[in-house]
Amino acid sequence: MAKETTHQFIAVEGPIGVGKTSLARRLCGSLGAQPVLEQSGQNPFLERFYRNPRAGALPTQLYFLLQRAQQLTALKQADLFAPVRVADYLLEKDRLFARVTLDDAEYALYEQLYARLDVQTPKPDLVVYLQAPVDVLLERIARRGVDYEQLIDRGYLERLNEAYARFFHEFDAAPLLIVNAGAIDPIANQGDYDELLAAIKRMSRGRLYYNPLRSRAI
Amino acid sequence: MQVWQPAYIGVGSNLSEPRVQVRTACARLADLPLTEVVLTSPLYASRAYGPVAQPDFVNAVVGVLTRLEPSALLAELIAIETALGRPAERQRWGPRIIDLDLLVYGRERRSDARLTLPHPGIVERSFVLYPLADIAPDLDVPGLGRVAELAGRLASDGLQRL
Repeated sequence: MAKETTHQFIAVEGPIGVGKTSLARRLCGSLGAQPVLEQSGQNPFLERFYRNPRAGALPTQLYFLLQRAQQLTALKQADLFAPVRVADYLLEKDRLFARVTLDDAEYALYEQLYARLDVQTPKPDLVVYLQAPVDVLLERIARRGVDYEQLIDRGYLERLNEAYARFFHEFDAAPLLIVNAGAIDPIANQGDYDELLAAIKRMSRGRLYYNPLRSRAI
Repeated sequence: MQVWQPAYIGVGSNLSEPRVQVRTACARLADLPLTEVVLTSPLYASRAYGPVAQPDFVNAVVGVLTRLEPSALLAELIAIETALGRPAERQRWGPRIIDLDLLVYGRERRSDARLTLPHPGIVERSFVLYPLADIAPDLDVPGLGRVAELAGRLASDGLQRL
């Protein structure tokens, strides 16, 4: 029998379209975990941002920061019988996006607010970082078909991918499983999912690249 | 804000092409408000038990994430049963066209006239525990323990994966 999982809080991260939310939901089903999901669809500024990134960036970032801070603070204060949880984001992503989307003056303002909020977030005991090339992200964004997301351009995704790679290169706050999500489809393919789940359950410390080398029929 | 909770629903039928009934019920679960189906187990066939001779059962377990409260989710399950033709008056051990049981809801433990959580039948029914172990072996059933271990203690009792 597989070794019992000891993870209490898993965070799934990665760029837009890589499959964070779908994986987080499925992990919740497998582990009986409570999901902590971003509600980006509720951000009234997001569509405006995709239509006009320069004008829409600041309100979009401020909304996300306050929304995420509120959600994670509530989590930190939540019940004594804390269930296992799986999140589809880390608070740190908020700053990562801010650095990409805001100009210097806006970012300075954002930083002041960020520091003032001093958000206390629960610390994940495993982070699963899903990586995929921009072509794969564009294809998945097209497939899920959210109207305003079709406005996302390749250059923006490239900058996000770089920002994520830099961020996780230096990340040492939790054990880190880096998944080549371009090579697998853990949502549509049961075998891919089972293997990834097993890797997640084995993962207890350090960092590991999960890159199943398998010939696959496309 | 009502948070998302993981919940597990047992689905069973032994009338009118049970496999079709189970699949139809699973499709109805996918349409529930504020609820997302995330995992569906394989179907299992099991012998009916109890005092009434009747056809074999087909069972499955569905894992969902839901923002419905337990009582609201239960009401939705009963509505699906009714829509699929289950009569309001039930014979406890009799044949049934469709049976939807709320097995586990988050860390919830309760027992009242309408609803007991976790479902009291879980530990003794292989047709519940085996499919549940297929989709959520690491689930810690409140007050009972880990699904894989609960299932490991239970004989398969003629249960067959279809």
